[in-house]
Amino acid sequence: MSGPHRHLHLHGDNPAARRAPEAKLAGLFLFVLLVALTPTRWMIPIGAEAVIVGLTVAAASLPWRVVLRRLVTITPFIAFAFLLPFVVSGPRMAVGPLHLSQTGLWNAFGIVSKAIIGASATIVVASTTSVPDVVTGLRKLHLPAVIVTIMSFMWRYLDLIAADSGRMRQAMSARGYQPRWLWQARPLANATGALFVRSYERGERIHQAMLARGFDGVMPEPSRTRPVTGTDWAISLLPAVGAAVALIIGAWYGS
Amino acid sequence: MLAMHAPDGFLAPGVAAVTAVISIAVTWLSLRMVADNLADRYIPLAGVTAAFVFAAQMVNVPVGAGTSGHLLGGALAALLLGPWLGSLVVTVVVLVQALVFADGGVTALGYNVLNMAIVPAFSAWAIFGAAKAVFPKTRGGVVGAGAIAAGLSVVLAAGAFSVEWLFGATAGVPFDRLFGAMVSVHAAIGVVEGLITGLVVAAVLNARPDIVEAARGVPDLSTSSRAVGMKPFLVGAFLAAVVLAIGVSQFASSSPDGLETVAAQQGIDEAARQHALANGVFADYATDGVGNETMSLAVAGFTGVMTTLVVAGGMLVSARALRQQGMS
Amino acid sequence: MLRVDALSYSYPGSTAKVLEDVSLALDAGERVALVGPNGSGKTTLVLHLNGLLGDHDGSVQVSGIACTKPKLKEIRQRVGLLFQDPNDQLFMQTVRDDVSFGPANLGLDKSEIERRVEESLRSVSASHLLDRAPHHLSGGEQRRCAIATVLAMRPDVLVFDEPTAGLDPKGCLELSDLLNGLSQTQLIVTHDLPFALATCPRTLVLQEGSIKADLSTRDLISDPELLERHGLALPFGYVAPR
Repeated sequence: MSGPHRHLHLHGDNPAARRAPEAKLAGLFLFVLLVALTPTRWMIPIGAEAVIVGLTVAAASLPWRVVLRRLVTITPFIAFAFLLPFVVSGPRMAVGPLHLSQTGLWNAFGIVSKAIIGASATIVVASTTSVPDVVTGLRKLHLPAVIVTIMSFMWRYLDLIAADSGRMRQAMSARGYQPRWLWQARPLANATGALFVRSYERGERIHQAMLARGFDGVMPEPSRTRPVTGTDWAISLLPAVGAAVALIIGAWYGS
Repeated sequence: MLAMHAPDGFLAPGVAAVTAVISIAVTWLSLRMVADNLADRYIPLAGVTAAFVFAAQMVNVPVGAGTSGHLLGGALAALLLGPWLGSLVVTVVVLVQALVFADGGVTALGYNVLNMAIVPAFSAWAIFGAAKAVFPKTRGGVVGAGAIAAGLSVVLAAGAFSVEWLFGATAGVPFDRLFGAMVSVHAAIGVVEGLITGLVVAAVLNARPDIVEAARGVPDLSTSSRAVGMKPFLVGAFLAAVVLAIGVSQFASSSPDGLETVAAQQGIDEAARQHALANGVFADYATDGVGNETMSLAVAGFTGVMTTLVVAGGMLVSARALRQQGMS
Repeated sequence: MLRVDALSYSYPGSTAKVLEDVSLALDAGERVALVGPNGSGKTTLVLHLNGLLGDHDGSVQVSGIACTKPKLKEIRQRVGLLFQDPNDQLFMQTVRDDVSFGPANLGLDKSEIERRVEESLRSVSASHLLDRAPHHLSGGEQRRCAIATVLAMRPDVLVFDEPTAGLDPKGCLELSDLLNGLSQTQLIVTHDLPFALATCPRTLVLQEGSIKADLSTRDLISDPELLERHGLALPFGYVAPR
């Protein structure tokens, strides 16, 4: 895959990559749900959740550099969090020359820790699961079949359409189009419009090709799916179980 | 902020759950509507146009002085494909971004889908319908009404996020401040979104006027008709955005001193109440430290009701139109 | 085997006739080329052979079965359509899923589907591509897999729309060999005249929506004046074999 929309999946064999996708996705969802439910000031559970994510990154043999680079999607929210100690009201504490809001510091800690733990966990799953497997996993988890099918069509044609878009932009720069201001955006919009027309017409042709092979509104089940085992479930749910135990311990100690 | 995909835990769990229920319900309804009206044709169409939206969001649009933005695409998808299919398509995009690119939290999907797919698509459709009634029934009218609808839909989505923050704030930033910042910033983003959306709709109308849902039933789609030129539109839109931003920030800073005093009072019982609300499913930060509580709640209520009405209006209008098409 | 009688068609919302009074007939096992300049209505004609465009005047018959709404499913099984861009035809995540799409829609059971997938991929020498993703294949590989998706339906007639589009010269030669080895009746839409000569003994010329000539491919290619008249041309430097 090339272009700006490089997806996360890395080929490789490790304990995370070997698990069946439906188990991994369910495990991810439960784990992240527990992270989202963890109260901000419960340091023991939050620490435990961070350690669990660290362990799954290690188990998936993902280089830390890669994970950090991919956390870029949450940077605007980290920036928002950094403002909080300055703008939130309440008692102040001195940190070096600064007087920071205690509540603001806690708020920032809560947002940053949850965002990083949640995104890292998702990165582990996305890096160890191919996209067709993600789609299969969602199907097995009983997401509506139509949504899953639309997702798989989207994935099938994303490369093609992104490449189309890239070629159009190349052709425009080849003719010296280097827009710097908003009122120069018309050619870009024209290219985007042309891209839509091409995409739409491709959608129509695909539909004809489907009809030509007897499609009557129901997508056939994919022929080959890999069976999910007890081991898959046990390993995939381990992080969520760990987080649950940490939350119970946290509740026991009253944070 | 809204242009980004919010991470896990950014809003309180209660808001995540409620918005998830709303998003699931609307998506279910959208599936029913498109299946009724497009038969099985929409399946490949939605998939390929979802890939298009994804690719279109990748295109950097120059804004000026070296900065750039990008299309959000919710309103564009609604104008080109109709609000039901448009909302569905952007929902799939948001889903794929969360699961495949780790862009946006998995537990944040409820509000991310609501703010990036559902509110923009249906509010754009409702505003477009209203604007079209005023504009001439020509190609230029469709493009102009589409641009205005796309711009305002971004502002409405920012308002929707602020209302969600009122119920699910995870930081002590009061509603009025967040609302002021969100609406001001998104008024500017809305200008870019409106302009680009209008131009893209115009480009598609040149090539295939028959596939643009927003132009259905418009008699004159010849290229010569133009409602507004690009420069006048830009100037007008920027002026409107500035007026909106100033108006809103007046509200947000209506009593900066009051903010300080309330803050001081609040400090006393801060430690005590922190523990209680840390466990709450809904946070109540937003009413803490608000300069003018009555006013804030009024604005929040107004924004919430407006957004809901406009979104519901978009649904009703298009549902009725589809039913009439079906009968004729 | 395949019979079209007085077919006329114009696109909805337009009065211009894309096809006007087109009649043609193919015998069982025949390979016939359909040539014509761009915009002559070739693709429109192809879509009609599978009932994909709706209302039209005239009739389309396959093995004596008229192409009408109640018989659409049977017609589509009997006439295998190969689209110009294999990317439109290979829409699933793996070649296996793509080739089994048609048989699965026919309601066949799992073992029969598997047998057909294996058999049709083997007949286009693409068995090794079974678990590959279609968008990672080369143009030639995609073309062969697309043919396999149609063969898996066990059609009587194959209709190809520009099968050499996007293929390099070697790919064209291989494709010609492949088509010559298939036993089905074939209608091959192309503007690649050397390819037509290598593959089809007989050629129909479609121009401005109607059939202007029906002759042997060799006669057409060796008659420069005839080519000129129908808006056709041989590749630069190509000398028609005598």
